Amino acid sequence: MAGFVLRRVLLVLPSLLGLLIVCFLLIRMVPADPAVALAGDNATPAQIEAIRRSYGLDQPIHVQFLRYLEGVARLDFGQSQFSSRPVAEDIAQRLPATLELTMAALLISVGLGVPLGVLAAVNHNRWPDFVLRVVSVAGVAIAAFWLAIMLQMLFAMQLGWLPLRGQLSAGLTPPPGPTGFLLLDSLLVGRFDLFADALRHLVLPAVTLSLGGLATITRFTRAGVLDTLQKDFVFYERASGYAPRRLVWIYVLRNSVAATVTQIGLLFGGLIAGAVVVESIYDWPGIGSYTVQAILTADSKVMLAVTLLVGLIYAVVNILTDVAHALIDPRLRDRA
Amino acid sequence: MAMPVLEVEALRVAIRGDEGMARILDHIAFRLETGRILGVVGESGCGKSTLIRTILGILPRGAQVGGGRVMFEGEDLLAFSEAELNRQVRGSRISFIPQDPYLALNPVFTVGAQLLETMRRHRHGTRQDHRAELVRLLRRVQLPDAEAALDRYPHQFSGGQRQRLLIAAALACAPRLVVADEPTTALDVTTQQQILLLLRELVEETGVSMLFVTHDLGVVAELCDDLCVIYAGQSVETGLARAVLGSPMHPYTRALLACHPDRSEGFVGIPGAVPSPLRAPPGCRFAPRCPEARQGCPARAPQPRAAASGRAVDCILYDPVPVEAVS
Amino acid sequence: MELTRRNYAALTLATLIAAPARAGAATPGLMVRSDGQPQNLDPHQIFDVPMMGYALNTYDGLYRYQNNPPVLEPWLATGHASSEDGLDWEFKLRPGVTFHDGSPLTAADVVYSFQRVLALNKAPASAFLPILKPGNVTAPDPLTVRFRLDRPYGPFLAAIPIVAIVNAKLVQANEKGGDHGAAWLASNEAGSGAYSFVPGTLTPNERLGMQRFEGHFWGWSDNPSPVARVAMRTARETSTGVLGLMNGSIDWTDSYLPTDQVEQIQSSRVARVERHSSLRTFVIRMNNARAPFNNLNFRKAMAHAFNYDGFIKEILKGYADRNAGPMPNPLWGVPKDAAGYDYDLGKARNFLRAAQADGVNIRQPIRIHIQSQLEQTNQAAQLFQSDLQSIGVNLRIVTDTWANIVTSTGSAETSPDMWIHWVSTYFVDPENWVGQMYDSQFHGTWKASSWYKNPEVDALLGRARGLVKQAERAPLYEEATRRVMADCADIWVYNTVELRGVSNRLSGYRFCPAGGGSELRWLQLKG
Repeated sequence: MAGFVLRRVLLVLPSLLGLLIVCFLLIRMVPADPAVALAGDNATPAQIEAIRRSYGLDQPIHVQFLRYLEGVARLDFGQSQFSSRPVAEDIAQRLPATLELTMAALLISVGLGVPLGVLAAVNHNRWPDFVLRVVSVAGVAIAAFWLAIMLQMLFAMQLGWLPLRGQLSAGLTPPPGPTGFLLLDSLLVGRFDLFADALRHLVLPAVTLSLGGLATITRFTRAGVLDTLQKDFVFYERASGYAPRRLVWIYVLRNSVAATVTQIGLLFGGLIAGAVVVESIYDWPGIGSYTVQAILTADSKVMLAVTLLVGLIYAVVNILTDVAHALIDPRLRDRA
Repeated sequence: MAMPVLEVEALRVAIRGDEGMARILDHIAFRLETGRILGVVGESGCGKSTLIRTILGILPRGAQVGGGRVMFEGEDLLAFSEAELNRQVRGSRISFIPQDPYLALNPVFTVGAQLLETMRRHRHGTRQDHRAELVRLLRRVQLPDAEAALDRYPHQFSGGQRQRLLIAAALACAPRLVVADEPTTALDVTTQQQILLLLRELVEETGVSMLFVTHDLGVVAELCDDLCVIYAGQSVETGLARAVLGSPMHPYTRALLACHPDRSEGFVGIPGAVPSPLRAPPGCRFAPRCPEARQGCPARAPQPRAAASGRAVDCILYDPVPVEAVS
Repeated sequence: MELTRRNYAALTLATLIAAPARAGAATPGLMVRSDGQPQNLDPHQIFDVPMMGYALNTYDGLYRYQNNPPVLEPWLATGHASSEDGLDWEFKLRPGVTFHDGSPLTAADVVYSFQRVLALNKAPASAFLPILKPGNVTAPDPLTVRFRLDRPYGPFLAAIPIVAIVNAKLVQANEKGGDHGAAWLASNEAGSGAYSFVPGTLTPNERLGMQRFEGHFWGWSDNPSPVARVAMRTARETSTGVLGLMNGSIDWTDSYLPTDQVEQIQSSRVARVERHSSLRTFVIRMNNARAPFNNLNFRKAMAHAFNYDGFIKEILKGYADRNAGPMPNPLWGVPKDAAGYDYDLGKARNFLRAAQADGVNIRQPIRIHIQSQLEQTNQAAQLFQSDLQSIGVNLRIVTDTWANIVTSTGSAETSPDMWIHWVSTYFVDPENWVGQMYDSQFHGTWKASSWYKNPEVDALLGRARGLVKQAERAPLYEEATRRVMADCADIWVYNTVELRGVSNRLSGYRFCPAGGGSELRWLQLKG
């Protein structure tokens, strides 16, 4: 198992390098000149040229790339051309917010999607199944921004139960915690008021972000459970008088989640992408809104670093997915 | 005479499908006495698995019991609720040995976890007690390295070993009745013999009763005390295995034995085909293929007639007053 | 007491639901802004509307624009004097001004600030680079600053408020590798303004905190209930900002409210819309260097084909003033006699025929670039498209971004056929509009992206630039504007009415087109 993980980790490095090269070329193919955007509204051509030189944008592309790579090897991702801050610092400040959001969304997607999928399968072709099938198609089809606005109108405006936007009420100061995760830090420093406030802010974005995943997880779990219910061993287990709940939720479910686990892995990447939209609507100070800003202002260092980060997250999640598969199914363990 | 463990009376089961109601079981009747092995023999598609599902109360959706009783130790199982079946019957008083040991065990749980699951629900005692009892049973079914076996996964065993596991599992809760669904079909011949021998020994040791469903007359001859022959959902002849096999009375049984006295691989000797349960005649379903069919056969409602020494035959030939004499 | 899991869950739920009052309740003394923050916090690196919203509060300049139309008023300076030839300028400083760290603000800080702007050579430098050498800014004594210009420059005084005065010692202490403290000041503050940045509250482009500076030189006696703390929380979608305004969680939006949201806010009891005529023109650019726009008749046909009144009345609900020329109407230097072009498809057809007679291929498709994030540019393009279709001109709409368009305006070949943008007030002088848009010396900058070239106009603008007195400069700008309009260089649409959603907790709002009314020190906050 350890060897298996190590092999996978080593395979990640060339993939990430390839990813970087492709992105580097793509970003250079976009006509927007970061120096122009950087120079501001009233800049003269001479000013723009000076900026281009000072950022090394006048060098041949392979030189620029090698310089960049050299930096990356030292975990230096360069400076954001706009905030004039190290990209690594910006990302470190924002990543926890995105992870908090995506984790919460994933928790909702899986925590609700798996039971709902099981419920649909167990009631195959009866009304709970029909309802859930309609809902899960809708879940994929509904645009996140539309849902977000509906949720905002209902819960923030009409009912006033939940905050409209942001990660924390404006009057509160985030805890000076060690992890950067707002929820975790506020617990660590014992500020339960901050925790509750942050949690309330998390609800709507997380629900919005979770919807697509919820639908996917429900569908795949339903299909998996339906498939398993046809298996001989399920008949044997029923004939052996297993308790009905334990039969479904333990013995059937564990056999049915292989595809769901794969989906959860894919979903995580999708959630990061979805966070771009959701963070923009709810003004969530994470990587997603940062990336949008970077694209609009042609901030190439940020785009590269974010791409690398997302690639890395994908790779790690992929490895975790494989490990999870092996943990669930002993036959894969023996094969590896 | 003592109460039989299981007595199936005039059982009819139909299943609603896309093309209408399929009358899968159309009058099944037999009885199984304590400590005996009853072989239920029939071709593929004759309704054997529906019979098993009816006894266990695990009928597919759309299935309807059209009549009859399944008397188990004096109670009609058909009147049991799902919860009662689950709590009081399945896995405890009636256990089940499946056909294919390769497919019957859950691949992602250890053997111990699965076998203990039933005991946990149906037996008193601690997990340690259950484990010890299970190890004893596994030794009894001659599974090598019984202690360690519990922590291994199904795919780490051979087919014969798995069938031994399943036999041990079937006995784990000291049932009154074991329903075995062709438990040797998936195994090679040598292993088959060992398993049959083991089953015979265990029935004698424990006094349990066994319903042994098969299409293999050879196995029946070797293992069973009693025999029930089923054709297209109708039980046509029952009686002592030796007697039925020695002197078959029903034309179907005769045809069956005639074309394959010692092998079981098919019934190619009988002309015609098994009727579809969708379009089966109301009376005797064998009539279209029967060399001795009479005019009244298709209309004759199933009605087993007792014959000598516990035998029963369901055929117009053995009706007290021949129908053609009347007409 | 031992909590069971179920109890604990119930407790958590109760905490959530029994939340401190309603979701959007305001915090006393705190004002929440949803308008954007500058890309970084260094007023010498960035010069745009969001920076004004920050720097007008945290920094001071020698002079400051006040009121509408804007008037230049002494701020850190008590006054100035200039030589007859317009080359020498002297500013006297107010005594006793202190920075946020308590150190005194002196002439040395002013000299350092101007030299730093020139050395960094970023956006705010462009007004000074052609006329001012770093060594020619001097401080003969702690309360006097002198400038000697390379040549007379009319807009010099108008541009003075651009430069924020920074705390020289503090910035110098944080210099790294000759960067003039650029990295440090990008996320810190070294000013003397009415509000100070609260360290540790910055997430770039997301949030930023400010608090009132008790020791501000202006004093606070004129304001009985000033805003004590300011939370900047950028709303990416204007609609979110408006919703926040309505539920009380935001007190102040940006000043570009979509006109369809104005009524919604006006009808609410908690907020209002501050409406003020600004100096911000909306222009549809034409690339005069490229066919078919190199033909005057074709350009005139285009100018007559845009439905100005329809756009302003229907789409903008009347929240804009028709502005027929390149200069905002309220400004000096506008020729009062120039009529401009009206919406008349008959005239447009006639000019199109004339263009055809000149040999112009009027069937060739033309492209207009819009800015994806600014819906109004799209609305204008679509309106234009439908009218042009009716006179047989094929207009294609290209969705683009600011960064892309500005890059492409580097040369006439890559500049778009047409594009749409606003020209904001960076300094209140005709130079900001007609000067930088139509003098051919600025070709290659986005402001001059119509590639208009008229030697007479170049000469008029050059002379006006070299004079100091407004009375002498005004007729030159008027004449230049007249000619640019006669040449129909672009399609000038309207002068902006800025629309800002403001909570009714706030009163005393003061609007000045330079800075868009974002100076917070005048505001009074109740509750």
